[in-house]
Amino acid sequence: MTAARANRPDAMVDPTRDRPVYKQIADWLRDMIESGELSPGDKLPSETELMRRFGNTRTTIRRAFSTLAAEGRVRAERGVGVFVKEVVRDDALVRQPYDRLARHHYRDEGRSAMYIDALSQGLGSDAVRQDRVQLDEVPAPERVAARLKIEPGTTVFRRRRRIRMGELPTQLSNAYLPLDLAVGQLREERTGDGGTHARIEELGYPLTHFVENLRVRMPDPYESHALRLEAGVPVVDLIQTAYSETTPVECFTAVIAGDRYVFKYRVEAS
Amino acid sequence: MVMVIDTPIDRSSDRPAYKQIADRLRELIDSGRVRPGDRLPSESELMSETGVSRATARRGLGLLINEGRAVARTGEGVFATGQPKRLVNRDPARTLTDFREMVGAHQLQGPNAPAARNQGFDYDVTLRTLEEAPVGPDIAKHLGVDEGTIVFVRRRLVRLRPTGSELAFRPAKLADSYIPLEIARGRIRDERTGPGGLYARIEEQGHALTHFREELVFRMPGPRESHLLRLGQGVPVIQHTRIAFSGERPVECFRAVLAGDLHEFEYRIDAE
Repeated sequence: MTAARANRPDAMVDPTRDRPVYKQIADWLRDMIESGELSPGDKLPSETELMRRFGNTRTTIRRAFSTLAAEGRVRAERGVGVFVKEVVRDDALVRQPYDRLARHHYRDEGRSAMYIDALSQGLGSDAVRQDRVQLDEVPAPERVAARLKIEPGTTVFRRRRRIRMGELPTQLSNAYLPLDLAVGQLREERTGDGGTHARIEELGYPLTHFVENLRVRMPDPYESHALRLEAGVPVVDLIQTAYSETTPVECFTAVIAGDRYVFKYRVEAS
Repeated sequence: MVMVIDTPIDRSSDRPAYKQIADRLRELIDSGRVRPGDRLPSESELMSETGVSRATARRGLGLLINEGRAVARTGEGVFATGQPKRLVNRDPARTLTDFREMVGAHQLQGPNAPAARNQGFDYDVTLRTLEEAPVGPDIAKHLGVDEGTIVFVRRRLVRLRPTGSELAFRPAKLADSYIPLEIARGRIRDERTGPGGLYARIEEQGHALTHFREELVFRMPGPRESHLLRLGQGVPVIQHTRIAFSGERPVECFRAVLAGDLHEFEYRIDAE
């Protein structure tokens, strides 16, 4: 039924219905998106076209657009028009987990994993910004304690920060270190070339491997606000443990905007 | 315990009232505002808070129970159990490198079934269709062909249930394989592709597999996906794409859409 409605050549809204006219117009546009008549990246009919088609005011048309924007289905490009939202942004970063954590980056080149991500979009290391940095000692949350193989509630060192690529926030992260590792530059706001992983190795813990778990969920209001997420964009809930042989040395958790990263992996067949 | 369902049920919406009730309660559970062990509103409380019938209230609570988010305790009420247990996909492409050793009758199940059972899940795979169909822009790009090219497609549905539970199977994953027509010959077109599965059959055609590329995208489902996976409102999905290469040539594109509340991906990354 909905597809038929969208295909009717002279779709009219019915002002006598209880449903507000702007919602009826939004319904019509939404049908076109859901039926696939309009695909991600496609431009919606312009305000003027829709005013003409439905015989309505610009204000009403704009309300219809706002309704769809609040649902996360469309985005407006000032001066150009309203577009069906892409799943992943054009300027999304490529995260290559098998590569970005490699030792040659952090030890030999002095580049942490974040900078490797920036390079994927041709951005320089100066594009990576951190803010809202918070350094403190806290009781280890359950998930973190389990991975660090310590009792839940044991005091650990925590570094919280928000990462931006240029102006756009991309992730909120917490890095947890056992207290006996949290020494020297690891307790400072800037951990130096190669970041935390280079410093941990210097303490005598060569990193052998990482285990990374990824889940998806909707953001909570704080995360939505801090990451400046548009409506309807989920977040990746990531937890990564760094190991020196069998000893976990760091547990890192992050909330990553779902539309700002594509995760890519390459695996040899034998 | 008593929680207020703030947003009134929209009677004029296409979405049935019982699903709206489930949506509100699911959001409270998934966001952590209602914790495992908290009692959810009873049928009578839902009826007086929202004005729905007892049958509707019961259906709404029933939906959450089926999803593994709540449990009914006779005489006590319905209690949140938190999010359902997630199936962990470990190093998905790496487990495939064992495909040449894979033998056994249950080829439709694929390489993930034993791991799922080890994690305490019953794993059910059904073949939805085997067909020739044109590819959209996304898959076309991965296969290195023009948009609209006809390819052979195998579409499967995976359903999960915690072993030993009395719940029904939940749809969990849509898994489609796209194969160029010139490669899709013989047993590749059959329901059961034989020992070693699809990749063994592709290699037998003279395309030795050299490597895989995988991509994960985290997004909201489209309406068709929502429907096929019976997803609650606001439940996101994980889109997992894997392309098999023989040298420079893509020989197959696998695209799965996984219910976000039932799955997790795990990767082991070596520091070298």
